[in-house]
Amino acid sequence: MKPIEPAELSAYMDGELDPARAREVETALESSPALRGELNRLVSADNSWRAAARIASFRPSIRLDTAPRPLHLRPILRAAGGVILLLAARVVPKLGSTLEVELILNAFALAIALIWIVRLMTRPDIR
Amino acid sequence: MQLQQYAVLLEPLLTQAAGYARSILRIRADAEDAVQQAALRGFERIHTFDENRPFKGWWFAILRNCCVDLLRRSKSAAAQGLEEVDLPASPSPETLDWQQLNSAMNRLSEDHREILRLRYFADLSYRELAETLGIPQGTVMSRLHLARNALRAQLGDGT
Repeated sequence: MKPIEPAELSAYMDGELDPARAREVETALESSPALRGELNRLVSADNSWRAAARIASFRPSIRLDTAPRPLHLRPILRAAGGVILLLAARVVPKLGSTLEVELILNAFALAIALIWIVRLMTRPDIR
Repeated sequence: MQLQQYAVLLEPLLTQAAGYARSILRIRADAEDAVQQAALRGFERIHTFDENRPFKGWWFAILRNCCVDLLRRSKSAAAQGLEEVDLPASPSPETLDWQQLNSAMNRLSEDHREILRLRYFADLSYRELAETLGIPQGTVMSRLHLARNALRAQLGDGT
């Protein structure tokens, strides 16, 4: 049997050793008072730290109703942006007057604003 | 995954999550904010969750990042250098215990501090620790052992 490493004794205490190795640790513990003493020290410290850490915990008040749907909005927004650019590329060269250009630019700005509003609405809020 | 299913998975983690966040942020309200933020961020990123891996480990990695973000943003507590904890009017020895534990952990290396916080405040298993920290389980075993030794040295063998 391989000698028991100190880290394995910790893992044994945590119940994280595989069953075969755990049995070997148990056999070693039966024949070694020093190993039993070390395990007792580990267990004592572990219990004390666990009890102390538990005091820090509390039941938080969490709201999930503001959670955004896990929609994949990014590709949708990208596609919308692409369509807008395509339309702009087709329409702008055909424009004659300054008024028409201004109208198109305003529509473009409005589309960008709408995209940002959608993004803000789907952002997770902290409160 | 629907919001309902996510809420069911999240529910049993919240109390430990608050304790873990508090061990990093110290202030109860900040800890609550971090848990709230992680709860929302987790659902937003639920498509990145692999169902073959532990949910707790995955979600605590998100919580850990939220705590770090919040710690960076709230410079005030760090600048004061004080452990600004909402103590009751007459603190019992028990209330001081978690602060002593936390103070001792704060004196350790970052690797040791992090694994101990996740083990004791968040109660993560080795598999979950490996998931949260992005390290193999064998490394979890050896690092946790060394971290415990370091903590015992800080607190004295009496603990």
